[in-house]
Amino acid sequence: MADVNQGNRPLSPHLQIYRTHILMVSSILIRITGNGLTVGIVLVLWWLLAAAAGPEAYAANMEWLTGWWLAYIVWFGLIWALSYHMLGGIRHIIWDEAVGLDLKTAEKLGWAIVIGSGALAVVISIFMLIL
Amino acid sequence: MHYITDRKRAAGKGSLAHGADHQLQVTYSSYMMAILVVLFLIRIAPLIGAPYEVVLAGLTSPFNTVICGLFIVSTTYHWRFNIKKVFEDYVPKGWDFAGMIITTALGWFFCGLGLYSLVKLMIIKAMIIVLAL
Repeated sequence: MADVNQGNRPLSPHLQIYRTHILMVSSILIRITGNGLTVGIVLVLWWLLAAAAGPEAYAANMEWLTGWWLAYIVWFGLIWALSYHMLGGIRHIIWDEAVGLDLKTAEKLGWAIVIGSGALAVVISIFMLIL
Repeated sequence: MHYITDRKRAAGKGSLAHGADHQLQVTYSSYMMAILVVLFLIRIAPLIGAPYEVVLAGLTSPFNTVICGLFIVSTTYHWRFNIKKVFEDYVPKGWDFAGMIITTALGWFFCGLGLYSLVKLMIIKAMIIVLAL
């Protein structure tokens, strides 16, 4: 055993030959949304600092932050990413308690967080548009 | 290499270095994040893009100020911790150390900026009240 060649083993997982499935996608999405939310930190800080700088500065900065079509897409994306990352995190907390680890339940949880985060993002975005 | 036993080769290669501790720290902070994100989405997020008066009133109400302050501190902490994992996974050894120095500094910087904004907003609110008297 001590002399076994350990440098030439196959690596896992083989992403190229795996069939894409919901657990894999929902896991990767947690990392993508988490990194993407760095943009969210910067934009929320921008908004807070603009508000702290007074009414005129706030109005001027809001033209950049919310005043054009791309802003709507970015804010919706961020709200969705935050919802998704949160639901994904809650799923991991559940899994840490060794609950819901069988394949059927896990796949259901995967779809639940994808669909649930979409619904949550739409509701929160509507509230943002009302105010 | 030929003379190293399996026991010796395995020593120090487990979760000893950082893995288990990192996992636990992230789990602890994610419980707090789960609560704070819900409160942020309900109380603070709808204010983004609202008129100035609405934002000033919304962010300086005691409950919202505390929620927003806690959210800023907790988020930058959680962010620092998890960006570390990204550096370890995707950035060559050596560069991840440099990346973590920058990330740690940026995390505290963001945290400071956010808390500063909240304090400044409360001062603006207080001045408006005083001037109205």
